[in-house]
Amino acid sequence: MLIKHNHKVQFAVTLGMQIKPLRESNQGMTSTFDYPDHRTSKLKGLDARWKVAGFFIAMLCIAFLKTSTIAVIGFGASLMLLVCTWPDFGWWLPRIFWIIAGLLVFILPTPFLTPGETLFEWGILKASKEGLDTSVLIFSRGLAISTLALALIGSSTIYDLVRGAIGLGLPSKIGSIFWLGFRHLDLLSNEFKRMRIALRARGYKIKSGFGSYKTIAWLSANMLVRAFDRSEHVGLAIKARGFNGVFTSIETPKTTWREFAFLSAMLLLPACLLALDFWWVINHD
Amino acid sequence: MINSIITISELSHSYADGTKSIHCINLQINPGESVAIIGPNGAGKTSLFLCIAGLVTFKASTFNISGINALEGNNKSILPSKAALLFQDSDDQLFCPTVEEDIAFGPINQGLSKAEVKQRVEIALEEVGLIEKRNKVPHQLSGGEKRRVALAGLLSMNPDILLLDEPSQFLDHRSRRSLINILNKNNHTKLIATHDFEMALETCTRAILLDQGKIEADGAIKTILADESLLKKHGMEVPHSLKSSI
Repeated sequence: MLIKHNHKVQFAVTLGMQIKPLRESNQGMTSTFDYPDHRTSKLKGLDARWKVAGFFIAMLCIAFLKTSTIAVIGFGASLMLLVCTWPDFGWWLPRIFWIIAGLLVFILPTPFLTPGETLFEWGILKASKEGLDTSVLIFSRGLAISTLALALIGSSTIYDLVRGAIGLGLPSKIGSIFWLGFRHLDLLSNEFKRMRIALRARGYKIKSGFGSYKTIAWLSANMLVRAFDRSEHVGLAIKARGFNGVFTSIETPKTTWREFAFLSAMLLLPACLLALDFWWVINHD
Repeated sequence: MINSIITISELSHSYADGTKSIHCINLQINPGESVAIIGPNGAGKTSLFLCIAGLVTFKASTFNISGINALEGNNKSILPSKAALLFQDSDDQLFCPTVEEDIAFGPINQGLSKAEVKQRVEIALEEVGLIEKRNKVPHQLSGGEKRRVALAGLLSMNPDILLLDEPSQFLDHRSRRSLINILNKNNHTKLIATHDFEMALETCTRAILLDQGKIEADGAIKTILADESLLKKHGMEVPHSLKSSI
């Protein structure tokens, strides 16, 4: 079960905690956040600006689809893109299942809430054909957009993507906030784990009751205070290194025929889907 | 006086709630000196560093850092590139996606060309012995490596003064030794706030004892750290290496 026998693991085992094996990319001691390994993505070498632009346009086109059949095709195409460009199934497949679980909450009631031609009855509930069609449309669009987002996330570091977005006109301050916020998820996650160990070390077990809620409230408040404290320190550290509000890189972004080909494909395919969708609406309504 | 790289007189600093952390201190540091700033917790060591790095507001009658009078005009904003500060917790300091990017962050903000930045990064990486870790994610490194990356981030800015706040804190023996070796090879003017007296003895020639925001003693490090009654008065102890020689 253990991949490294160090004192931290030993201590956690002593406390009865389950230690999961770390991914290869995360075996470096303190990281707890499971970062995608973009080195395995076939799009890793492309300029982040064109990746952000291409995927954003594709997502926008998918969001405008009106027919469920074309949305399903759109999802198929997005999944193909993800499979072909990023073979790290171990990272993205579980996340797709979580997204499906999240979408089911919204689409399961839809057939029963949308008026139209009755498809089947279940007690007092009547499912409509139009409702089912809407469910499939929402489900496919949602999955297609999420799949494209996963392909984008897997293609570069979040830092590069944010920088790409800034290069496309996203205000630098928003980009910086996003990046620093993302960076500190890792620290907050570490903080949370440390506090959880501290609680368990003193015999705390989560249960329903005022005492337990009070402890959770203290824990949450403490985390917020620590987060504030850390943000103050990071702010000083940034100032200490002369930060002027703009994140720049030592790498110079380059646009080559590969970026051009990628962007053309990312414009052409969604445009075809939109055209097909338009044709379908005209011919089937 | 003219040769000093740091000349400060009547420096005072208070927290936002009005609590005074530094009370009217005078300080003079010569170029190339390595000075240990010692004192109990809450003595004002970190606040002093934040003032010297120009990161907080303070009051002083003289405040010259590396030839810059910080009390004039907007000069305070130049201080971070003259006096680079290593934070107590490296996680506060490292926020870029790779070691290389993090070390380049300071020089980029100094407005250097990309070629110069790359050269500075190369030199800094070599100095701290982390060439092979250049593409790693900083927060996935060990504590000692993080500290070295943070130090490289300062060195790449080519400052005149290094302000090191508890540099050996949380480090294991090997990382601590490697840090001491790096510091001893380095010729910058160094101010090291530390509770690690053994490290201070190895890296510094002078010590300044701060307590409750005031300078209580200033002199040769061996003299100060061997003064049992002085250290006891301020809640500290003589280090073992000096105890055996007393």
